[in-house]
Order: sequence, then structure tokens, then C-alpha cells
Amino acid sequence: MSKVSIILPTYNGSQYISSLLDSILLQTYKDIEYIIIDDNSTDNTVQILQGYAKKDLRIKLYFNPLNFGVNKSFEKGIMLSSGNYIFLCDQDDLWDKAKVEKLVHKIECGYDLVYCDLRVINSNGRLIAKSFQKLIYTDNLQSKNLTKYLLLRNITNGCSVCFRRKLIDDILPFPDDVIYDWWLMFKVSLKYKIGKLDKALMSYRIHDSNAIGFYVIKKDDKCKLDNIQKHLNCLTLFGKQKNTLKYRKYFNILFRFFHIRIHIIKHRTNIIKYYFDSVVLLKYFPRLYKYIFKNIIEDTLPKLYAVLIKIWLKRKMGV
Amino acid sequence: MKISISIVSYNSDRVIGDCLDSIFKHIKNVQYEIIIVDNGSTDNTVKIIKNNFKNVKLIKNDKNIGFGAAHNIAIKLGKGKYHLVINPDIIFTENSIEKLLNFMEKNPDVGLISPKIVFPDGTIQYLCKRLPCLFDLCIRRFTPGFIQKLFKKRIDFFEMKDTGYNKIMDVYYLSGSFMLFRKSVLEKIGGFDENFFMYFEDADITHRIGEISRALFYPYTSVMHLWERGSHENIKLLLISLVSTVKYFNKWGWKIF
Repeated sequence: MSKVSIILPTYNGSQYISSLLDSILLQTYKDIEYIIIDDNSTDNTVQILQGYAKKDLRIKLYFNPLNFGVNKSFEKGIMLSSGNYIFLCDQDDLWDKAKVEKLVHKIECGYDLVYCDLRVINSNGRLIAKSFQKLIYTDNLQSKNLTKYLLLRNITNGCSVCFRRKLIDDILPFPDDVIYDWWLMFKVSLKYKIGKLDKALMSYRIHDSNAIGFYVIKKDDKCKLDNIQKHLNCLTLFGKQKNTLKYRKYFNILFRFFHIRIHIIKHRTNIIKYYFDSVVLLKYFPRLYKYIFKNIIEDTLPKLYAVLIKIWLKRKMGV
Repeated sequence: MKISISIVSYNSDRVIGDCLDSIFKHIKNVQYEIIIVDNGSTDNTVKIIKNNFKNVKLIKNDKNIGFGAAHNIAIKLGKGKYHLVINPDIIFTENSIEKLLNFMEKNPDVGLISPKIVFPDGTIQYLCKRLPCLFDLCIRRFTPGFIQKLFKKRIDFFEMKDTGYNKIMDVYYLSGSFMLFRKSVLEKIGGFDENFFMYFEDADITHRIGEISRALFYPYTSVMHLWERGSHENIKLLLISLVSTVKYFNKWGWKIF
């Protein structure tokens, strides 16, 4: 029985999978089992995995007979795992050699789930940002009332967490239309103690074919609306969980805010209402003010531009 | 045909592939057939079995007729001298069936046998139980952790932890996740009781087999059973288990303490 299980679902990831496997197999912490679940890949990912599995006996390979998607694959991996501490892993990242060691050290200080910071790299491996937490404006959060902030946005990425085996009764099964790491963080934050390591211990790759392109900053309206819809789905699910009654207030504020936001993206009306609601939001989620500001500016800038251009044209034409 | 293996699947697409893979990989030197009864799954279960496992007999039900009733269909169809009932989340790690069959051949008085069932990390699942009484069941199901701690000794006794799970023993209540029957005995008692939709049909059948034959726990081989997902939280499952509990006690007499 190993102490640590690393769960890695793969799907058509032959481009980056070797570098990831090299980095997770060479961890300074040795007592690890690797549970790799191939989600019915159609390229040569399977051959690469089998090559590694022959060389390293700690790797346990499983194959999905159909394409299950990330949620179900992680779920299966967690069910098959046996370690005390469970790490989730994405197929295109790079781990520092000491990641497992440091996170295990941290979790043994009495936490139930810990997460670390990430560096962000692009498809060529070039550094984009030193701190993922700063990029998504969650770097100044304290672990005291995380649940509240988790309603507004996910605060980290699934591949940066490490949690104890005893949590799995609470987090499984992952519902189908929810973002798995968000669900995980939310469920855990309701009941358990979460710790944070401010150091970046791995590199998170952002590229075109990311499975979860939630953080990728795309500015077209369709993508924004999709994200909001996903968010609302998640919120509805979160609201049905146990022990969420005391967060009812925040749920209501957020539902109202997102519905107005949908309206403003679609029709560019109700701006005053939108600003007003944003102020309310700022009051309740003060630590995420940067994130809220960013959204406001992105949503209303096109409208502002339109007004300015109109005024400028009027002046120019001398009407 | 030596043994027929029957599996009842209901929305189990995550694990059924691995279960069947492990059977094909580990079960050798024994002639076997696999019968899967699908209880109206709404996910990809049927598709997976049809596409990937050609030599498996698949029976589709339009709706969920319950665990016992579905296994009865498979029991009627099975041609083997022995009949194995497993859950779709059982994974074989060695040729357990051969060992169990050898034991059954040598001891013709045994009608039902179950091996050691372990978690993926190798710890034992305490699935053999003594005769259930209402008090134990209520404590295990409905009370918070600190009350369970108060009655830990009692629950441990109910789960037969005092025996150590390291020798062959007669059991009153074996788990339905892995049961190996002798077909003749199974036919004599008429299969599962179809009044139970889910839960307690295993307690019922162990009880009835115990009356005409022996039900044993066999610790010298093990199979893997995946982590159980919380059925306590789901209200529908809770109701089903309540109904089954009442039916069980009505059938075998109410035993409160």
C-alpha cells in the first residue's frame, strides 16, 4: 500500500505526455502509485503509456472502453486508488521534483486538503505568468471563509491539490455537468480544513486544446455566455448540497448578478442596474475586487466605446 | 459448463469494463460463461458491453426490476454446475474462482461461499455479519459518528470483527457483492426472493441456504471491491433500504436487540 496516489486521466495527449510522465516519475518522494486512466485515446498515447508502464512497476494502467470525459475518469481513478493522500494530475503539465514531498509535508501539519500555486506556461514551455493565483486574482484569499469566494469563482486548479483519502465519501460522485475541481473544492470547504502553499510547485500549460479552457481569456460573447451558463449550472448544484443554508444570501446575490450580466452581454442594456449590482457584489466579496472589476470593464467597454464614438461623430459632423 | 457468472448492471459504465477485463485476464483452467442482466441503464453500460465484449450474454430489461429478480433471470439461463453472483464493481486480482471451486468440490455440504473482499488498498471490508437486529441497523445507518463510537464494540461484534477474518467460518449474513452458489442448492431454495427490490436479499438468501446447507466465509483468496459510494445521502436509496428492512423482519421475525 503506497502512501500517495497520483491520478492521471489521459486523452490524445501524446504531445506533452512524455515530459509530464518524466516529471512525475522522478519525484523526490518515492512511495507513490500512479493510476493512469486512458480515456479511449485515438492517437499513440496508449503506446507511450505502455512503454512507461513496462519500465516502472508503480504505474497502474486502466483503459476506458468509451470516452467517458474528465469527471468520470477522475472518479474511476479515485475509486481505484489506494493511497492515503490523493493527487490529481492533468496530462499536459510539468511537476517540480519536490511537489509531492512538499505538499505531503504541508498536509501532515493537520490539513485535509492543501493546494499550491502554479506557474503558467504556453505550448512551447515559455513562462507566461509566475503565479496562477495572481493571474486569477485569488492570491490574497484566506482560508477562513473560502466557501463564499468559491461561489463567485473557482480559486485554484485541480492539478494543484492534494487531499486525504477520507474526503472521498463526500466528494464522489462528480456530477456530470460540473467542473470537477470546483466541485471538489466547494464540497471540501463546507466541512474540512483547507491549507494553501504560496509557492509555485508546478507549471500549468495553457494552450488551444485545453480540456477546461475556463481560465483562457477569450473576449467573444459566446464564450462568455457559455462560461456564465456553466457557472449557473454549478451554482444550482452547489445550492442543493447539505449545509449551504447559511450561504443562501450569496447565492441570491450571485444569481441576480449573473442574470443581469447575461442580459448586458446579449442586449447591452440595463447598465445602471449592472453597475449597482456590481457594487453590491464588491461589498460581499471584497477580496476578489480585481476579478469583479475586470468583468465589469470587459462587459461594458464595447457599450462605452459605442457611446464615445457616437459623441465623437456628432462633434465631427457638427450636428 | 463448470460455472456461470451473473452480473446485474445498473448505470455502472465506469467500472463494468474493468470488471470484465479482470475476469478474462485472471480466470483460467475453468470453463465459464458470463451473463449480464442490464436493469435499464440510462448511461453507456449497454454500449460498452456490446462493443467490447462479444462473448458475453447480455439481457436487457426495459426497467429496473430489482437486484434479486434480475439475478433470477440469469440463474434460470445459467448452465453451470456452480453459479457466481457478483457486483459490477468487483475486480479480480488472482484466480480466486479456481481456489473456491476446489474447496467446494471437496466439501459437498457447502452451498454458498464468499472469499475475502478487500478495498483497493488491501484493507478488509467487513461484510460478513451476524443475524441483524433492528438496533444495530439503526445505529449503523442513522446516527452520527460520536454515537457510533459509543456502540463500537457492539457494531464490531455485528460485523464479526472479533473472529479476525482469518479462518473458514459459518456466516449468517454474507454480502451480495460476491456469492458463489452450488446450483443444486440454489435451485432447491428457488433463487432470490423477488419481494426485495434491493438490500437484504443477500441476508435473506444466506439465511435460507443456512437452513438446508452451509454458508461459508473463505479467507484464503481475495477479490477487490471498489470504494462504496455514499448511499446514505440518496433519499431514494434510503427509502428502498427501509422498505427492505421492514420486509426482512416481517419474514424472519422482528428482532429488536
